[in-house]
Amino acid sequence: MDQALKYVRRPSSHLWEIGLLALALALPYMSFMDRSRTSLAVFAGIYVMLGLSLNVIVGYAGLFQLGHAAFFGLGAYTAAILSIDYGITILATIPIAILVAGGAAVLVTKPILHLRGDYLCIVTIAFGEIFRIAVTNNVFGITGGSNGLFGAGRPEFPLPWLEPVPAIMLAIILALHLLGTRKSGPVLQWGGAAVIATAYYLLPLGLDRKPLFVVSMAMGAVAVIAGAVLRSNRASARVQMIVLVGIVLAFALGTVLGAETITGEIAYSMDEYFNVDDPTTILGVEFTPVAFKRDARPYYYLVLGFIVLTVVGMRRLQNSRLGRAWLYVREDQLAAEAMGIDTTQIKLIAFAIGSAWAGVAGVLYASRFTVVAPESFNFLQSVIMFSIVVLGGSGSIPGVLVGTLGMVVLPELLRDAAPTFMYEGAGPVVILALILGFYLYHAQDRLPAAVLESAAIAAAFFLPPLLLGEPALYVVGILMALVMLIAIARLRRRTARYLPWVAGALAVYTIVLLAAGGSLGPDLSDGVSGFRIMDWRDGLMGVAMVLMMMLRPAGLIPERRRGIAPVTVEQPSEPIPTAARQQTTV
Amino acid sequence: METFLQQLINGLTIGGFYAVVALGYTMVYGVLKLINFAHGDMFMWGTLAGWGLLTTVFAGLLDLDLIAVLIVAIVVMAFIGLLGMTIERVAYRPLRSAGRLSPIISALGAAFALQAVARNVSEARWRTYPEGLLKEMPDLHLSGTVGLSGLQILMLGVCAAVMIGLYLFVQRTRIGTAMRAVSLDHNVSRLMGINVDRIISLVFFIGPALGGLAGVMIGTYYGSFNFTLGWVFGLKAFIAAILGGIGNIPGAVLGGFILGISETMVVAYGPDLGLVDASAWKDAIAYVLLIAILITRPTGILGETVAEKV
Amino acid sequence: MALLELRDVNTYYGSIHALKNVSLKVEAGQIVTLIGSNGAGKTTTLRTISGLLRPRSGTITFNDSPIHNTPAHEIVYLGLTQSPEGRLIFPTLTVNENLNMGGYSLGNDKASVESHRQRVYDLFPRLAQRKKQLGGTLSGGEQQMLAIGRALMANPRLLMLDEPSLGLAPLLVRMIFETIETINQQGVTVLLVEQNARAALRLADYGYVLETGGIALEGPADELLHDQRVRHAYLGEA
Ligand SMILES: Nc1ncnc2c1ncn2[C@@H]1O[C@H](COP(=O)(O)OP(=O)(O)OP(=O)(O)O)[C@@H](O)[C@H]1O
Ligand SMILES: [Mg+2]
Repeated sequence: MDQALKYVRRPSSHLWEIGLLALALALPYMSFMDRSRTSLAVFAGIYVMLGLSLNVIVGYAGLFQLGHAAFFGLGAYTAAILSIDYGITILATIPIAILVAGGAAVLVTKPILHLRGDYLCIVTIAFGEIFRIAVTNNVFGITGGSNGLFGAGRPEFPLPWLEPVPAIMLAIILALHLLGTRKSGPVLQWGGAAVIATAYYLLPLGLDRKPLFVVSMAMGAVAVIAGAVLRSNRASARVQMIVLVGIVLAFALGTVLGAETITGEIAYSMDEYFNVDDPTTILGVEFTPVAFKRDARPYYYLVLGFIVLTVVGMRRLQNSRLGRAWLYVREDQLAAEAMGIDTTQIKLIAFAIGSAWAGVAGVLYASRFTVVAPESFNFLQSVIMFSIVVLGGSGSIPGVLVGTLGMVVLPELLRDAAPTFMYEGAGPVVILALILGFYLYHAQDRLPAAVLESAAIAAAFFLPPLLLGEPALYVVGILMALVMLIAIARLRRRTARYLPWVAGALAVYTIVLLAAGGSLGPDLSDGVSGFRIMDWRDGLMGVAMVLMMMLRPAGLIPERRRGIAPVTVEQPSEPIPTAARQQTTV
Repeated sequence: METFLQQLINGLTIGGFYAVVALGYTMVYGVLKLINFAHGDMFMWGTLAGWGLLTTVFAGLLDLDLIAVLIVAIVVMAFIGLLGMTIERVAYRPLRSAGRLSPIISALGAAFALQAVARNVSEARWRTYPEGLLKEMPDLHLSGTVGLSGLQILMLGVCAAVMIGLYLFVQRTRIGTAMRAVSLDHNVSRLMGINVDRIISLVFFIGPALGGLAGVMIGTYYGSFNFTLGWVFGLKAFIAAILGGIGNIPGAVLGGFILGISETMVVAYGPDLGLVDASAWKDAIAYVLLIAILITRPTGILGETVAEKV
Repeated sequence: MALLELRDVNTYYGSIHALKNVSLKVEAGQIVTLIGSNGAGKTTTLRTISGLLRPRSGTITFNDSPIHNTPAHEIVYLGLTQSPEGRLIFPTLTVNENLNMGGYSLGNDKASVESHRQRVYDLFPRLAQRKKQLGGTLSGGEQQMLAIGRALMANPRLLMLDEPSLGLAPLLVRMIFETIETINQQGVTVLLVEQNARAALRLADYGYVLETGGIALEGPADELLHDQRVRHAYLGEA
């Protein structure tokens, strides 16, 4: 146990985040990100927001909510109606969506908050379904019935200058704010800010990418040197520096991987992504109205921006007085009451915040798809959101990311899992690798066994399809890998420490594949015999959900426990009584 | 008045189906405090399996349709019962001590998996039971146009027999009492010498087996179904269980009937009351009822008003 | 050979080491008492013996066979039952049904269940008047009787009682202790966990004192009753 803790502890809490963010910023420019995958990334981003918002209710406050899709839908419908019928520009509907979704949550949950866990669960399902049925039946004549609403607006905003310079300044400030805790130190503050600023504003606004890189890396390097000088005598600073260099390199590498665009048609112009109108003058300043087009990349950055904002907000929330109150309520309601916490109030706030933020995700959804229809907000969606939170690890922010990969990205990738699945691009592999990596990072092991196991898993994934050239075998491969995971987890729960290497190996494999231009292995482009992964997508997802819960009941990345640690009882071969379990309920 | 009576009879029949499915939810909830989301899909598998058997193996026996349906029902019950036990073993037992969230996900996952199999087996199409099944039975005329079809009599009879039988089993027998003991406290039950795992397995046999039975009955009664039946009908049956007070057998029955009758009545009389498109709102009735009852009586109509054990 | 023997038993709650090398013996026919202050680990000891908790190391033998890996419900069939701390009767089952559950291990043998129930009703006539009453509606004292009666239903060779006097009026405590003696005289070995050290030691043949998870003292009950340390710490004497 103590050992596990040692490994789980992160060297510095922001390193991961900056790394991830750098990766996320570069993602749309990687070679395997075609149009549909970028679109998927946007979609997944919206689900990340939904997961983060639901996390407030389920993770922080420990309440059940299986009707979250209704509040997502409320936001989306609000935005669509205001945009279509009243011509309000769509991002401006966000405050109204917040009010509508949050207000509805307060109204609806207030009378039911006293219900115990399972009843609450089923009542939230009921609300979700009532919402869906209501909009399907064109309630008040404004929801468009089962076809939904068409023609919601795309995001548009006036820019004072089209040049990116002020935007960069803005971004730096934002990034500083984001990273500016005392712990992280100047290296990360400046380096991170530089990377973020460049990527966020330069990429979509369309400079030639090669110079962009030089700029980005130069800024990073300058930041590193400055930071290193500033904090040279601290070991932790050195660690930070190494990691930052790594980040900058990773960022560079990520974009280099998008080689075709660097050598090919390089230049982007504004109007590839945006409709640029003639400038208008407001109060003496010249503004250029800019509106999104259908292309997914601007949306990607918009959603990413919202995610960053959400993550920062959620962090703050979690560490606030309110967050601690939720913790007490979740862990021990009676004790919380005894401490003078108004538990009903606290729970209501959780529902209000979580639902309001789901409403924001709804606005983004409406602006992205411009069509809002009931089936996007049905029970299945609520289940997916709930699973995102729980699979990833209830209460944990990185957990939401991983949960989204598992519940949204992976199934969507399976949808078009053509025979060329692995040769065409690295996306699925990287995702599998990430999941494996996260899983294994938290498991513990000794080296020799780990090497064997990683080899076995890798073999299970890659050998059958390579050797036999049968697409159906991808499924076999994945199943075999799952079996391996179960075996490992069952037999030696504490013995998988070095298995992150598997993730590394998979990544290397990916790069090799990419370098080879997708010509490794037999050509599988024809030969699918009546088997469509798509048909089994939900089933595989279901099996995966069961397996994940068996392997890691607390989720892939459990929240680091703060405060009151619950006692884990020495497991008798038989289960814990219901009565004892009820104590730890919601 | 005549329409009212006729609707009441129709409502009772549908309510009976809800009740039998609800029994499975309520029993499982009793012993494990788990919402068995997979129950609805197991029930749908019952309909599917019944369809499969009646259109293939038993297709030749359709002249003796009562016997054919009976045999099929028994086979399906055994099959779905075993399926239920397997699912408990695989998806729920490893999670008994894992808190409340994980079993819910696992249950939903099991439901997805079952549904996907059914989708592929049925090729995602509407499927129909053999034409004219059990249509030849004598009807019962009460007065004027009001009456019960032979099929309705049979269905109501089976539902009633199942409910009474189960109630007596749980109330009167040693094993039934042990089930109630297990639903109160696992550890103390162990101290009595009760093999808690085995009792839970048994519950996971009986509940799904009843679901399977309901599945065959519904297939026979309505004639056609598709793989989404489990979600919709299952969820509503679960709501019926809660309406009556979950963990409580008479409660599940009462809830089933209330739900069945309300749905039929709203569809029949909704238009008169200004609900133009009453049948479109039919599915919302269950949810509205649920919320109304839980706000007023948080543990359901027959549920004990004990405070939550803390 | 002792009827029940624990050897170097260690039990944990997660990382909490609740029983540290506990060794004790219960000879057939005796009343043995286990005393100790709150949180000493008495209940944990009984739960470990009954199989509700698994010892991480050590052995437990009952009637010459090891039981530390036996599932809890099978241990009952070997003739070892427990009346748990806080009674924990089934509140929504009737008195009769509670007793029937106690006799679950007797199987479908109606006659033998009936005779054991009669034995319990003879020991506790007050229960006999309340056969159809729900367990949860009984008074505290009646619930305690029911809990003891329920544990007797399985016809145990060794009966373990966890604080049977908890929360009872002095008169009732005396009555319960007398009944324990009667039960013992009927040939049932008793392992009695008590806070009420004086009464327990007076009744018992042998005693163990548990302190923070380990056996601190042991000896014949009357010796312990006069032991300076016991008198000081557990009998409230100077
Ligand atoms: N489920 C549990 N989880 C964690 N610790 C526990 C648990 N049950 C008991 N303990 C701890 O184990 C120790 C021994 O508890 P136990 O109940 O055996 O004491 P006891 O001697 O029976 O006390 P009392 O006389 O108050 O009943 C105590 O420190 C208690 O806090
Ligand atoms: Mg105790």
